[in-house]
Amino acid sequence: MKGKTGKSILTLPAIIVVALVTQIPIIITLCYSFFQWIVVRPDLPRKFVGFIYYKKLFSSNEFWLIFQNTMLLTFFSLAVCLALGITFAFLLYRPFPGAGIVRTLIISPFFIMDSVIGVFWRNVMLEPSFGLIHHIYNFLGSQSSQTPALLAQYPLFVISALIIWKWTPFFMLVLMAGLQSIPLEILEAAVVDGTNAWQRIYRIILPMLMKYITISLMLGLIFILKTFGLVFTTTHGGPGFASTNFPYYVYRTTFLGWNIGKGSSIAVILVIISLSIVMVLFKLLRKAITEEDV
Amino acid sequence: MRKSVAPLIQILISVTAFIYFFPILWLILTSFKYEVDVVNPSLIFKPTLDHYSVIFKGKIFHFLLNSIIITGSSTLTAMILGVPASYALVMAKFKKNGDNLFFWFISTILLPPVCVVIPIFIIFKNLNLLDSYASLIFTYSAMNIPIVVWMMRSFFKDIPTELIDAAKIDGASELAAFFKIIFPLSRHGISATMLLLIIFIWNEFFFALHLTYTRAATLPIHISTYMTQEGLFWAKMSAISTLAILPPMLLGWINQKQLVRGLTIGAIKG
Repeated sequence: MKGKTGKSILTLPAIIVVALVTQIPIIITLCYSFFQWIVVRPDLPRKFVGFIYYKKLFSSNEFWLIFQNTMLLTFFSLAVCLALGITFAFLLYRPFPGAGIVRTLIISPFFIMDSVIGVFWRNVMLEPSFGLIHHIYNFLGSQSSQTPALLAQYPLFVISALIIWKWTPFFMLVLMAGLQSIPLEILEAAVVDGTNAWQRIYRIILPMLMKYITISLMLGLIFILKTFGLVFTTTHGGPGFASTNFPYYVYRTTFLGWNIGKGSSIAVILVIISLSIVMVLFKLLRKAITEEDV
Repeated sequence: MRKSVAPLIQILISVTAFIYFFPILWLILTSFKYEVDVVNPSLIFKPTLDHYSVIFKGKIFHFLLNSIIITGSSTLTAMILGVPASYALVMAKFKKNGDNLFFWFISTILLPPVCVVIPIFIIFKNLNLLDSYASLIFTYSAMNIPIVVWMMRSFFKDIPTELIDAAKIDGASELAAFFKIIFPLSRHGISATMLLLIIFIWNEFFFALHLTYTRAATLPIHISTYMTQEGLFWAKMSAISTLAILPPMLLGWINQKQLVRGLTIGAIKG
């Protein structure tokens, strides 16, 4: 019995530290969201305003544009990541000479910091008059017309492409692990039973891959929803609000506009969205983990 | 059945992989060019190491050092607090509560950092700790403890409990059992977890942007402000970027085997 309490004390420091930077700040953010507090307007008193910021947000066009941006960015990127990830995983899970090098090349973008991805792509790759895209465009034989300024014209699309470039390796790795976990005997038995390749994919491989697909989708969703650095270093959310997502909107309102109350309300809304996703994820994880423990 | 891939597909996937990697190659190549050659897309150019030698003389060294100090300290702190917690949660018999605690830990990884940054910023500002190592190290350690707890959990679960029971029967204390049996058996798990933390913390942008200005700013912050402060020196910027991306990329390559387990926080063993 002595050992038992001794061990649970070991968890205490970790719990306290984690609570200090996550749980408690979330509660404070929630409180801030009910207060009028604009740092750059000392003439306005700090006072309790209730749900005013929430009401204002829900009735503003700006908020819904950003909601739409966030959803487009997240779900478009997720869909493409999953499609590409499955394709790469199918092509790469069987060994062939050089498979290790090919895999290493494909996973590399995943380790690159967002600020390098953003700054490098915005300038060296996509800058319309000097960037690599200019030369590719000329090479493809459109000397006469101007190289399009992709980042100015399709900011959301470009940011999404960068997210896809970075996150596809994650999906590929998880799905490859899934493919490798399917026992060969099952597939061999299916061949003996006279199934064709499509039947094997639909009836055996995809169902056995389901757990891996859901876990990669859920985690990918949560990570892509957090996207901030790429927006900051490519477009600063612009032009206008055209490429602003929720995290950048919080930053812009709180740390550029210094409106703590409004910024906190947006953060709280984002917490609610994330929490609802996390709930679903928990159920899946619990299932995955208890299956594995048995 | 698991027959090798057709040669045509092999070539196709190799070309795709090369295209996928090409931007990184282009970044590294650009860092060896003279500034005048940068806008010239030719692959043949007169290489130079100038930009790298300038880096180690200039103020960039300061940001590199910050990154190293902050990443190292945060990783160690997170490990020191996280590994014992994880071990206790796995081994202790409070199974039901233990599981709930695990899920509490994971819920904190999954929340977007914007949801906590406002109070953290205000607290550090009031403590006069903005732009200090302490603020970033504290935040990073805390943010990464849940990852340690989760990753180590999946490694500790792999150790058969019979081994520990046997050691106890032989009269070993809890501590001795941990250091003599558990620690050697989970060495790979510990190193894999550390490598993953180093990659995450080294690349972290969001908190570094909010909590630092120049004194404690890390490489990602310096790179993001570089173009506006120094103008269009693409080659020099590429050299700093190359330097910044190489450590995590190399660690990632080395750590490929444990990567899946780490990235899915132990849900998939890979």
